[in-house]
Amino acid sequence: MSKHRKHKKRNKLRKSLTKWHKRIGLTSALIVILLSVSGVLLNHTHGTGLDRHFIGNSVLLHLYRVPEPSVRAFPLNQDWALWAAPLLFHNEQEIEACEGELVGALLLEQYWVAACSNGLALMTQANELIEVVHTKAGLPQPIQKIGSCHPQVCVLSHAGIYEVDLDSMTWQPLRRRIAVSWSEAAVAPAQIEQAVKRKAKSRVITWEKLMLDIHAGRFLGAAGPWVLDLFALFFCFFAISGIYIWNAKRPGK
Amino acid sequence: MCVLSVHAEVLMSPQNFLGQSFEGEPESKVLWLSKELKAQISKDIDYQFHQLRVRYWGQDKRTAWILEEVGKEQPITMGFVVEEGKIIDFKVLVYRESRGDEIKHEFYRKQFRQAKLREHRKGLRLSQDIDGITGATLSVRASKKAATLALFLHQQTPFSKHVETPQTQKTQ
Repeated sequence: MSKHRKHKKRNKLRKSLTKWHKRIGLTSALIVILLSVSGVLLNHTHGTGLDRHFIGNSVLLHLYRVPEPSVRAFPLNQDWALWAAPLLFHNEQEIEACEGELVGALLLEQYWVAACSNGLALMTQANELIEVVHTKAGLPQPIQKIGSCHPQVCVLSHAGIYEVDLDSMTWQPLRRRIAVSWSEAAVAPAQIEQAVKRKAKSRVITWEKLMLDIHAGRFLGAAGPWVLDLFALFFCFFAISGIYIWNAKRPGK
Repeated sequence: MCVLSVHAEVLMSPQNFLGQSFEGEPESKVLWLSKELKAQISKDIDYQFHQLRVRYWGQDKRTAWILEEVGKEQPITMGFVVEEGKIIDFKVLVYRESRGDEIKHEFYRKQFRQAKLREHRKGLRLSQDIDGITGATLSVRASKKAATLALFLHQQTPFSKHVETPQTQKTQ
């Protein structure tokens, strides 16, 4: 009699476990797929380029609350050098140049110079980078302004005004009596400024970051990691109940 | 938006590095990077140059290079001194990554001394094995790549074909 009752009790538990096993399995399916796909992609972020490619989707950028970048622009005759952190632009073309905020730009005969707080970048008229000279190479830092002090280029740093020979990349304090014509910030055409802002905004969040946030549950906000913790408990239950059901159904049981 | 602040550990200034590498102050020189040279560097060393010229310092048979290569996320600034096709000194000047800075230590850097270029089926490599450091794999890889690049760039300069003159013999 007690054996029969025990058997009945075990059957009831198995049925109940099977029911919950199915329910939890179905509920967790989407999360399992999300975790698996994001996990595999995270293992290969470099190979797939996810660590180098940025999200440009405005909805996702809005969800990440990426702020509108502020733009500083310096005229170069008909063209513009613009800075929208962390990017430098020549008109709407993004260029790889020096580090730090753009503090001025100067158009010379054969090339133009972008002065960033941490260095000078020499660019060809076709926007090819000739060379970057960082303040870490000894250039007085931080650079605050750049200007023309014919025939040389002058930079202003907290230590004073320096004349820079761009060919030999040597600099010395300005000793000549000459009025320096400094590069001053101005308002760029709205069309260029908007394009630059759009590009700068889409260089903030990488796809790797999104994958990480999906994998860790952070894409659901502050409660996300707790939700994923709950699912982790579901997975444990799923594995244990699966083993129990399989064992209970074995022949001879 | 999360703003990441990059911590840069400045270990040595370029002036000190150059001061230790040469007697007196050599003038800086530039090596122009033709399309062909850039393509070869990209193919054989897997290093991408974005600029048209690279600055270096040279005296007699010796050149010094200040190069940057990204470890995991941030560039590591490294200084190499090359003489007669061999590395004679390697210093980490600025380290910006959050981990892996063991490459700045002498026990690691000394492995590069006397390293030369070696042709490998996958491109150019260092002639001697460099022991890795657990937890600093990417910084180790970056330093090996930069060292290979310094050796290769040295070959492109007139200092690699230096002919001794009575004047240069005197200075040695």
